[in-house]
Amino acid sequence: MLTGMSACRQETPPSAAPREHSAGSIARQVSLCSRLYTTEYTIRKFITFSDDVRLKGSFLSSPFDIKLSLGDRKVAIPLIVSLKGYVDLSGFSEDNVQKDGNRLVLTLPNPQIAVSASKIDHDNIHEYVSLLRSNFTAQELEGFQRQGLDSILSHLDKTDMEEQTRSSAVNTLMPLLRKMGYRDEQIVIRFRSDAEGHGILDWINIENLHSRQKKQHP
Amino acid sequence: MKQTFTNKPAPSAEPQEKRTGHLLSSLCKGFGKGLWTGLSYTLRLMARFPALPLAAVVIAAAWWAFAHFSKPDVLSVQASKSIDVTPEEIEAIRDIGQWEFVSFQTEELTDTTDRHWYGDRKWARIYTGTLRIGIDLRKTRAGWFAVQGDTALITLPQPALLDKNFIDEARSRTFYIKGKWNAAAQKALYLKARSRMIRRGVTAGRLNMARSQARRQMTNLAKGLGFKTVIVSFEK
Repeated sequence: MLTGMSACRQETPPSAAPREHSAGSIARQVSLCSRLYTTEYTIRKFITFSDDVRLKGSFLSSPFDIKLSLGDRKVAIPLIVSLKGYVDLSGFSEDNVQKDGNRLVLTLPNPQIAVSASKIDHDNIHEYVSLLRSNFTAQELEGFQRQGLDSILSHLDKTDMEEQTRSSAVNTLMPLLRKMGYRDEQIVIRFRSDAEGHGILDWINIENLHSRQKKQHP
Repeated sequence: MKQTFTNKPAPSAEPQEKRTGHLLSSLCKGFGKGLWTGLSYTLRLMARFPALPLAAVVIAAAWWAFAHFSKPDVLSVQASKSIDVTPEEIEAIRDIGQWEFVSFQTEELTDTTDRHWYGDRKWARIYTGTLRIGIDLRKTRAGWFAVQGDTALITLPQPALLDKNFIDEARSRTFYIKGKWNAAAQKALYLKARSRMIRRGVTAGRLNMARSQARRQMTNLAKGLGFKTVIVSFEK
């Protein structure tokens, strides 16, 4: 469900084009895409970390775990992540459209989700470190931030973001299809699991969409 | 020629054997005597302290059990490295209509130095992010998609950077740090990196690339929907 840059086509700059140089530039990758971003989720998470020093071991096959009283080391980091749901239209062609009399059936690839941005709320980071303990290093704090982001991404399947992206994609494309002269009841938009068309997961038409939205927001 | 021989008796092996036998027998006797002395001393000690054999057996058993059951990593001081399990809160859900045509994945090394008479502080960070160039469908004017027979007339807004918040700060990392830095310095470094990334990433060449890609993709879409002719233009 979550993708990075893989769906985009990498573009090699023409040799005649002037080359750009920057002392600070480390890595560059330009890609051509056609992604229709239809929904954006802003997720906030308080990353907390409590660093207890423990004496662990075993004696005569009996394990023991004792907390050593060397003082606490705690940190709380607010992380704000922006996720965007999109439909990849790079492979869109006549094959995605079926016309059956007055009825138009549009088949789109299943939505995907990408991390648009992540931001640390530096003003609200709180650290508590006892006298006997060392301060958190920048590398330690960055490690916790990465863990926090990974945690958010691993729980994406528990959100309705994919469904929301489908609904928003329909809402975005509908005005375009209406301009072509189709009425709402004549339009069917369905989504399949991948661009190759293997396994249609489900489909959405306008009536279904309205009934779902009514259920969600009565 | 007169030969003289001295008749010295040849040394026989018998006395040597006798000497070796004497040595062995004396050693055995000495060992036996020592053993007997040690045994009698132990017996006397046991008679005097009757609990001593029991204590020796207990110590031997404890030593054997410790050696048998304990492992080399029996004792260790550990500090946790994983973050706590905390909930994630959805702050906002927003419908958007952004069509991305060019993306630019980049990293930027940004540094700052604070000079003092007692020593300099320095901090260098590598920021990572993806700049996305495309069109915002919410900025289209009325009548941006017009139909004339089998011809589609599409007028799009100029492609631009879709979102100014594109840095993945959670994946950014410190390259070098000396001294303690506050939140204001963090934010200043972030903004410096962002402005550099935009200056380098959103160029006239890339905007042209996005225009060409938008034209190609819109034509594909409209032709896929059944239009014979598609004319794509951009707002001035």
